[in-house]
Amino acid sequence: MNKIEAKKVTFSYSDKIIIKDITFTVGAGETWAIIGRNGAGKSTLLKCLCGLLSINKKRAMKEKTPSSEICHRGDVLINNINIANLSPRQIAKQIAYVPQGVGRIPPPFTVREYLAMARFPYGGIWGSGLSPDDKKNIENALELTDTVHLAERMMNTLSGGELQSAFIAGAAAQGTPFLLLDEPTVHLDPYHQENIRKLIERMYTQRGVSVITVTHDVNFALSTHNNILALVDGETFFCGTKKEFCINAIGNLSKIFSVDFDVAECRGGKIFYYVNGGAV
Amino acid sequence: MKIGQLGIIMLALIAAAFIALLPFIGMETIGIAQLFSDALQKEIFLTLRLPRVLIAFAAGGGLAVCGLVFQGIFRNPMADPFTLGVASGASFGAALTILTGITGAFLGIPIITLGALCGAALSFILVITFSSTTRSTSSNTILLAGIAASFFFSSLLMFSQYLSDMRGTFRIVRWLMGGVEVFGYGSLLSILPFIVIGLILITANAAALDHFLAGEDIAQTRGIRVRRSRNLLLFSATIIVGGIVSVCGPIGFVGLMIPHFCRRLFGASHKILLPACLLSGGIFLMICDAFARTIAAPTDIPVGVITALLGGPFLVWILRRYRY
Repeated sequence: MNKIEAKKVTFSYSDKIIIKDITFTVGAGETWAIIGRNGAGKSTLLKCLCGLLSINKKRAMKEKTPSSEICHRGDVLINNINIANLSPRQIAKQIAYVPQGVGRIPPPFTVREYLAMARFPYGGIWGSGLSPDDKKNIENALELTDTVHLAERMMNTLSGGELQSAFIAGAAAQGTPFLLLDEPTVHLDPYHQENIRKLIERMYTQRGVSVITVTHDVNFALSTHNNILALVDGETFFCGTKKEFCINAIGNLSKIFSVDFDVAECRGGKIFYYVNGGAV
Repeated sequence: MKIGQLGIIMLALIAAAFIALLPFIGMETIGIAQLFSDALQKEIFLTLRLPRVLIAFAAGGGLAVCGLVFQGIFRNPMADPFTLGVASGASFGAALTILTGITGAFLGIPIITLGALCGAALSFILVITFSSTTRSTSSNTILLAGIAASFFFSSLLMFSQYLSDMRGTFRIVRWLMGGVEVFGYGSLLSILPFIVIGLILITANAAALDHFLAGEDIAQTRGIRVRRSRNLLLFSATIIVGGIVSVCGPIGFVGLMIPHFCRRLFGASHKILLPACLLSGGIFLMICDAFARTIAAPTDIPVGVITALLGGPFLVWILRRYRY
């Protein structure tokens, strides 16, 4: 039932077009990885999907973005309603967003307080106390993300991996059918990358949440997600299922990232790696 | 959470006790018996001491809450009504009305209050316009713009002082030191609406303040109307500061110090921090004013002198093991 549709989404800063005519639909329970090189427009697309960047001309003018310099086109629809007609609270009940963690100052709250803040869209204007439903959602999110033992810790005392789990726990506590993740594993060690990967899997297998992940880690993208959207210079290079992508995975990856890729058999699966000059 | 609420109740009790007891202290201590037997002492108590203590409480609390709001919005531990130029603007506006000698009221608001409000608003608009034209959302840009505005208005203030006669200059210098000497309840009543309206708006946006600490992108995707909340908060803080400065002059340091003190005790949640800052700020300024009245009696020392004198070392002591 739930779905997000992007229709010919175009976004530009000044005269530079960041993304152009992106069209794709994310249905209930689907998992999408948006891959591409740095600057291909992955994060910009994600921000358009959750309303952080507005592609609506009227709203862009209202928010005093110098509209003459900007070329915005297209629509984002959430359950067939244009995102421009939804209030931040209404969007927040549908979509949770976890921004890039690198360089982000951790807020001075405990993990449990941070999760409680995520229930804001469901409260009154005065942000009254937590309802039983809120508390249930917070406990569920802690268990789902395996952060129960961190609940009373201050966010600014957590390690990088723990912090990323806490940020995702916050998004899980928001209780939305869609979860948007921007480079969730980028600065993490293999152990914590694996943790985050399992966590994302639990999000859609146990909760039925649709996950959209921006990443340039191709193995993470292909192992954890069923659909791939590949961007090259802001335009759609590939949009479809993982199966279709893997028919010519090496060719696709080499074109997307402009380096030669190769594949290795490993534990009955495949590992993709790029061939650099400095092989050991 | 429970400890926080308990702390607020404690603070409220302490504040109530001080409001009841401090009016007895002054140049000469008034005894309870005298209050009922001596008409003159009763008059001093009711029209001089009590309003003075009440206005110290309101001003201290208001300034502390404004400091908290500015620090929260700009995510910068150095933000307060003074570093953002709002207080300097208000001072200049008020000083102009003192110099020009215009008195009276407009729509029931004293001219000096209007002057201070206009000055505060002017400085605030200057800072916001400047920082939005640079298209930088960095809090450092806004803070730098605020410091620039602060110096700009200080210079204007000095200039106008230099041009005026001895009497005008003395009045402004004395006023700039800050003080809560009032006669009767008129001043309190004239600034109370600004403080009350400001506090209501700020309380309604307490959740937004919490979310700003997590970052504006997270705040917006959590359902906060970021731009509207920020503008409402800044507007509220500006009218509170404008109102307070018009009566008490620029009382420094309360807005900077009290929020840090409260965060140390109560954590970072603004639902608790707002009442905590209001009460602690009020208590702090009442105590400072009690010192001001008694330390060199019969001379009244300007309370602005005391706040920084007591507050400076205290802040350093708080900050020893604390990171914002």
